[in-house]
Amino acid sequence: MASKFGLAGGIPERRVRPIWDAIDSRQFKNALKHSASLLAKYPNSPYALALKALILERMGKPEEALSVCLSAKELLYKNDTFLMDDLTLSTLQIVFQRLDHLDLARSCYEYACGKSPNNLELMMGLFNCYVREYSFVKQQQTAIKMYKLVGEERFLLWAVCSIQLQVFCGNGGEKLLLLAEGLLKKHVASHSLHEPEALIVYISVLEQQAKYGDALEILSGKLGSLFVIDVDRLRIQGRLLARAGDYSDAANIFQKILELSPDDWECFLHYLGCLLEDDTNWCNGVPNDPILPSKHMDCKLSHLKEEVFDSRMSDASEFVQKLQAGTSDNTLRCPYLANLEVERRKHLYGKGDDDKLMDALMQYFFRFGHLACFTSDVEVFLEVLTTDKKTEFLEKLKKGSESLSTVPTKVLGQSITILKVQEVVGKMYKLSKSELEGSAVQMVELYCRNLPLSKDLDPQENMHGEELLSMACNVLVQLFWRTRHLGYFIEAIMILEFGLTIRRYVWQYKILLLHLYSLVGALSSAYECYKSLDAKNILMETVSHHILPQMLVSPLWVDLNNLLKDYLKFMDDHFRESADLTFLAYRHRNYSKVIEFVQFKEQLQHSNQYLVARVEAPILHLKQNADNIEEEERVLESLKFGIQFIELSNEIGSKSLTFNEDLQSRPWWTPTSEKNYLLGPFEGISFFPRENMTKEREANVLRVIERKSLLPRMIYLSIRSASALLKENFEVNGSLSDPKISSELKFLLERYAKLLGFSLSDSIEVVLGVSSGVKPSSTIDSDLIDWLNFAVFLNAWNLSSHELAQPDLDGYKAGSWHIVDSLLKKYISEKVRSMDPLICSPWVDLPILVQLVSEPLAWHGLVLQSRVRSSLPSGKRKKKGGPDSTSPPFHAIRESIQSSCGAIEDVMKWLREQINRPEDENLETTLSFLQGKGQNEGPGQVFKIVETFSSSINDTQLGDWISQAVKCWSPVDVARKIVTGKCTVLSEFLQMCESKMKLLQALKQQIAQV
Amino acid sequence: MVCIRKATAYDLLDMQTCNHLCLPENYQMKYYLYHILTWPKLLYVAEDYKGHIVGYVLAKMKEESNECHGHITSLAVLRTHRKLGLATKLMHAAQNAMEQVYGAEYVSLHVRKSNRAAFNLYKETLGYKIHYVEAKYYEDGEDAYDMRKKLKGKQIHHHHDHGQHGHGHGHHHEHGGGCCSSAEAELSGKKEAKAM
Repeated sequence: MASKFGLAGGIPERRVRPIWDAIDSRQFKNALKHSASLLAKYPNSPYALALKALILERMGKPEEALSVCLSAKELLYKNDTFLMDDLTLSTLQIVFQRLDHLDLARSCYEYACGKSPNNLELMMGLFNCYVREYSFVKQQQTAIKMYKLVGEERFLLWAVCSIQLQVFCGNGGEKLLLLAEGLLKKHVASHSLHEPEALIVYISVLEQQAKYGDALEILSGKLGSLFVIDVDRLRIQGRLLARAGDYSDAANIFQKILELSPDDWECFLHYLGCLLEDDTNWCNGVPNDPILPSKHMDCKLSHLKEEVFDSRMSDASEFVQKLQAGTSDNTLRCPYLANLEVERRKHLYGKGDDDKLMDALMQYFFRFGHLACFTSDVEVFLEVLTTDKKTEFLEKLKKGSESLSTVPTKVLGQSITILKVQEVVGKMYKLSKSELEGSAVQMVELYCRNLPLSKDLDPQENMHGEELLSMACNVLVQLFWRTRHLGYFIEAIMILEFGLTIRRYVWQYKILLLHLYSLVGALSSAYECYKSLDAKNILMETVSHHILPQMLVSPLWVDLNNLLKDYLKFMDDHFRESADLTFLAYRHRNYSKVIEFVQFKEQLQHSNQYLVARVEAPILHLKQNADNIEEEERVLESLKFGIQFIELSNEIGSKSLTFNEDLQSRPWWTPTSEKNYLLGPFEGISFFPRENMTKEREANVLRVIERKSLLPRMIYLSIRSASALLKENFEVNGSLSDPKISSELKFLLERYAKLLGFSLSDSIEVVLGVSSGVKPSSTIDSDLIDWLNFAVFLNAWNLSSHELAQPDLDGYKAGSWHIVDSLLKKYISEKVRSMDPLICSPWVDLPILVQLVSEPLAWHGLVLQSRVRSSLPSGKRKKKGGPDSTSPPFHAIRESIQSSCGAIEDVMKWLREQINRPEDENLETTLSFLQGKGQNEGPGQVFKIVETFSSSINDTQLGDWISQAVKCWSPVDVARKIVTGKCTVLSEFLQMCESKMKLLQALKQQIAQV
Repeated sequence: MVCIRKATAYDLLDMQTCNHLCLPENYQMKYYLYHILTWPKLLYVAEDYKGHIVGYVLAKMKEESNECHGHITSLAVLRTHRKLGLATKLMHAAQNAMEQVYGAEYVSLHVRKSNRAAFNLYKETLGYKIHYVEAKYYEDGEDAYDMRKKLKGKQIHHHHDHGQHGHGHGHHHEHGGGCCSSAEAELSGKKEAKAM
């Protein structure tokens, strides 16, 4: 904290220093004491008050802090003689910001700047306030004022950045850019520019207006020398030339860059693109965005005439040869890949030569075939070959590798490469079942055999051949896909756990295990795997997609709550704090980073996962508290009765989402909400399926969120609607108690129905039809939970509106209660009946059962609670002349409670049967999947390799720690992990059911007293 | 084929994944942001041809007794892309920028005593020398080598040190002249560490 002339906020510094020191050392009580004595001496000093507020906020007393801050603010405004110094204002700002009142902080600065219009320090403070609030127009105005005041380049650039931000965010177009250009031009004429970053911004302003020629002129003029690193300047120059369509000059520039840095792959693609006059790289994505680099190898078929094409390609080949000859560095891959790319382009043009391409591939293999990146390097080049040629290439590789190297790690690397290429070219899908098993066996054998190579490695280093186990796992999953034999999953789990015993830190194993445990229903073990990934900070955004979808439909509420809470806290904290950091970029004159940073913030803010978590977290709380209506009402109150979620649902159409998940780490077979390969029949796909489903995913997420965000409000209205009942209804002879509730609920039901693809009346037909058995139950299978929720809310609405009440001969039975009861009973009991013993079935039906109980049944439980509560006499006074407990409505409630009890009982019975099975029996069943009864096929072949290996280890060969680790390996422990993982899920589910049962029993008793 | 280029804010997600996969020392998001907003010229990534980040270097400037020096905060290369000289290239890029943009006198770094691979890279390939051993530098109690390498120093006109010629106003650079930030202590929070 700085001070001028020994004064701080108008107070002698020696008086405030003890407070600063106490705050710095986090002795807040002490600080408060000092502050009290300071205030005794300076009761009307805004700075003294600001300090007090700061201390109070740090002590966790936000309300007191705010009120002290407001008094300080009032003092500032009231008395003009007070010093409007930056120290006071910035202290207030800190507190206001921490209290989420950026607006108040800003208005203090605005007021101060109004009072002292030429104070640069205050203006910078004000600028910073606008930065925090992302008010780009105000930023621009303030920066211009500062620029006019002192004429400094940086303030001009602050203004220009603020203009660019307005343009990027869609508020203002050409004219604003023209203004920015004019300002810069004028400044350059009189003062030139002094910073490379300023020049970058100047060029980007011109580029955004497609004034490439002007930009080039500036770059090649005196200002160009501001770039101290040559390649940086050349890259911009090349880009501008290419954008301007001057491909031949651009190609020359890219050539120059490659001569300076021959491993620059992106630059090579630019070079080739320019030679072929292909603008794909220059017109895709956001045309005005020089920051987002193009990330792919897309290219257009060349429109060049054949002889021109030939001559350009021969130029390219010649240049590539030169690059290859010019380097002695044998780690450079670019010149060799460049060769492959030249051949690929020829193929795309229709003048490809398979043999040449294969020669180039072989050359690449001889140099880099032992590297882990080889296969992903050449994948795109293999794609242009026919299936036969791919097989031919594979054979060549096998032959070629024989004579290649004698260094064991290299030999291993090449063997792995060949196996990987086999997978990539789709050969695996054509193998027979036993060939596939053989292949997995081969991989695991290779892994075991090569373990000695890793005996001297540091424990944190990756082992040689580590990926073999992941590859074997993928093969085993494919075997499951073909045969539906769960044993392959168990086997895959076994070998990965074996790998983890030897090396604890292998991420890929943990991710594979996480998915395998999920697939076999051992979700709590899957969650343990996720936790062991230690995904924190932004990794919660990029990595939690592995576990979150499964957790959302599981009964592991405590873990799910932690997952959502940690994630939301990270994101919200980031959004709150990150704006502050923007100012770093302004202050350090890294202007181009300002724009990048704001766009990055947007990228995170539009995260699909963030949206999902924001809706799912409150829904989880509603599920958790549904068995206690008072608690539930408190939750609803904290959610403003669901209003803001309705708003979210209304806005959903205009939302675009970002997908920041790291999908690279995800194996192709892991189920997503769009596609679960393993559920469908085995398809003979010819290559590695890795489709880009972003569009479908976006539509899917938006659809789900739109529906889900209606839930809190509908739950609230249902509770109200159900209680709007008996007393009033009977008192005023069945008329509506609160027409607003009823009409709003009806409106939301209409929306909900529409989201299911029906009108309200048609949806009522559907639920009526299915509940009475007229329509087949499969009618609503695809959106089962939503349909049942709909039925529950429909009944609640009908309780106050009576629009559905058309008593027929059966009286109440035809009513909406009956619809809900029969649907819940039907689907829950059907599910329970069709469930296999969990120990030998994958995780498919259980999540649906969990959802049935935790959503529609829970919401229905709330309707019942509300109904019963309002029918009970208020207070102790027994109401006479109230409704007759034998009257039809009570009968319906009683029946409904009974029916729900029945459904829950079915579930509990099944759960207890599963849980109470002796562990030994479960372990035996699990391990029996791997015992092939003496046959040499089926699950267990790979497992056998591991078992044989671990029972015959050679200590000296393997070294100490590997042999120790192998000795610790216990298949029974792994089986136990699977069993426990399943049982934990079941126990949690049972607890959920027990709580519901308790509630229903209590309701039964209460209603008996009416 | 891997391109070594300056990092952008969009790379931060991948850089952090890379960090997490390679190193036990992980940093908060704002520490990355702090680096990229303050010294964007010192952050480089190694990008594979599909646009995946396979390595990065995170560096910053420090000022001690008027001597400006660079410091490597973190360096990582994914295991699939080791033995390709990427770490060396990333280091060269950062060191060059320290020298050319900021006129750094030397560059420093910390490395775990047990990390032989990284130590060899710094000592043998890059020419760093052990300056001293910092006992119990890492959270788990391991010692670190504080290693340094001399750079060319202030030969280049510092781009921040310009005056506003022709203007009557004297101006103060709140920060312009220096290469460091006072926000650092607050933000760094965690001890830096590095390995490869």
